[in-house]
Amino acid sequence: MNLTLNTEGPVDVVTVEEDRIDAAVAVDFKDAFRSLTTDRKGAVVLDLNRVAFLDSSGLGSVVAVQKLLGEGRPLELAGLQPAVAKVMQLTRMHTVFSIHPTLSAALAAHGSAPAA
Amino acid sequence: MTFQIGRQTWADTPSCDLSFAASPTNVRFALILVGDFLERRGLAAARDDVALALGEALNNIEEHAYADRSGGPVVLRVASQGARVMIDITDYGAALPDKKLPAAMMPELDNVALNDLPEGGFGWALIGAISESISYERRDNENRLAFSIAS
Repeated sequence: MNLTLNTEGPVDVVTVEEDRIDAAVAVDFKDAFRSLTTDRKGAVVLDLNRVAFLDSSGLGSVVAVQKLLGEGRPLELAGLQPAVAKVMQLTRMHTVFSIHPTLSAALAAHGSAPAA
Repeated sequence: MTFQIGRQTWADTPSCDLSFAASPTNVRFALILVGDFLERRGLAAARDDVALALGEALNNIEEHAYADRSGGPVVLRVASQGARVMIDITDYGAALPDKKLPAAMMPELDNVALNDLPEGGFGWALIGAISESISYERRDNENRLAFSIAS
């Protein structure tokens, strides 16, 4: 599972560089996310801009990585495509996670401008 | 048997017939083929909903009906009927509990502590929320799930 980590001011941004988080990769997603974000601090923005498909296994792995981060490190979601936003709405997970329309909006909310 | 694509699937016919061994990668492949089929039938508007509900149904089969063996057979037919997508899935694994559809309730999230948030249990509720009608039948050693989705 291809994830990248960038630090933008006070927040870590984890970008999913693949177009699906489904049952085939849910465990890989969790492992890759954990290895990028352990021993760090602060909020994490998960940039889902490339993700066109998220199933309930993928959603479960997003919940799992928020548990890994713990109470002190909120996981925020950015750049949801319509199909992904729909899953969040139907499951009401949009009430659990802060959701930003774009990565820039997420960074602006933390008082950080994205690197050019 | 790994993955068979019905001969008529690529022609301009109203159904897409696939049979494959249940596995996460084959589920993914099936969803992509069904998405292409819907696009050719002018039903691209239903593609996301079908992918979500069908994916949940197929993953359930892979994880639960075939919990005791990997790669059990799945027979899938997706057909267009006007603006409606009809989905028929047959597998030969374990029956659903009590041989009936489970309640389609979304897991509770209100006032749930972070560590108690659900990581699963959304599948049937998602299928129920997306589909217009749904039926399940256990006959001999066969599970037959059918549901329809409006585009």
